[in-house]
Amino acid sequence: MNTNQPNDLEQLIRMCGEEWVIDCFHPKDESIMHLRQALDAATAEAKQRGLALDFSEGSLIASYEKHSAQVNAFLQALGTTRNPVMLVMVWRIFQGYQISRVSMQYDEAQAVFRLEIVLHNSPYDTQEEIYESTDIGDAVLLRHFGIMTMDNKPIFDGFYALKLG
Amino acid sequence: MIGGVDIVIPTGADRRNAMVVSLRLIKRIWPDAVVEDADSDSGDKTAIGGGALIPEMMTDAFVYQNSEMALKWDELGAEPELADTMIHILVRNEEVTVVVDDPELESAQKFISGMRSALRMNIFAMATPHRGAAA
Repeated sequence: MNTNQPNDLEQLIRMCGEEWVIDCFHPKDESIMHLRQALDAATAEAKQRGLALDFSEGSLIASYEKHSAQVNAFLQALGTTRNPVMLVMVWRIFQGYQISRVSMQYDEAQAVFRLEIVLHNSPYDTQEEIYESTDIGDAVLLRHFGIMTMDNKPIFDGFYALKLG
Repeated sequence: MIGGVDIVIPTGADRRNAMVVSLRLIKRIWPDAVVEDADSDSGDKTAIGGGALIPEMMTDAFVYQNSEMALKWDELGAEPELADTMIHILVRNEEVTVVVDDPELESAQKFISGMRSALRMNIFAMATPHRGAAA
């Protein structure tokens, strides 16, 4: 047995150095229960989309061994949003999906916020996946996108953990 | 690699993120790219993406244009006809070395410019204050 492997979600979060995901809850002792519920909701959302994604505690721990940077980024997303749609979107990016389009609409007077993120898998695959949110808190997720240019073209690519200060 | 050219790109990204950035960018240029751990004797080639998470453990990777080219590399080795069908990525502390056959080629320039831009992203260099979701 690898002694560096976490045994449960709380250990996983702490090994990633993301204790704030637990500590920002009130009451704190209910945090893991809420996080597990968010993961269950993400699995259900994926299933509804016809995607065989498993966001169970065991699956995340298994992924951590070889993909700790991406699991770390996912835990930051989990600490930021309870929106299962956004959690599925993040995981699809880890699977190599590219960000085709990002649209954000905000109108204070109309009390409107809308975020739409469209992903695609490859240039051969014309099927797009659309992820929407009306929770302004989900705007925080955009900070995790890789921002770059390639051939002078603006590109959002990848979803990375922030260095939290 | 037929006598490649090393291009060293500094980065604030840790090794794992640097490898993820590199593989993601290669996939943009070669959508069917496959990657091989250059430190492993297995010779196994893995598709980038395609349902699996992007590999991040490797520090030394051969990335082939597609599985067909990877097979040819296995059969023929570094032959001129295989020029510009493989990129060698070496991830070290605070730098990534990209080895390409011809850095003047359009595809190589596109990739290298993308790498320079991606590896200096603020997200890898700056500490960010955070907020958690309400319970």
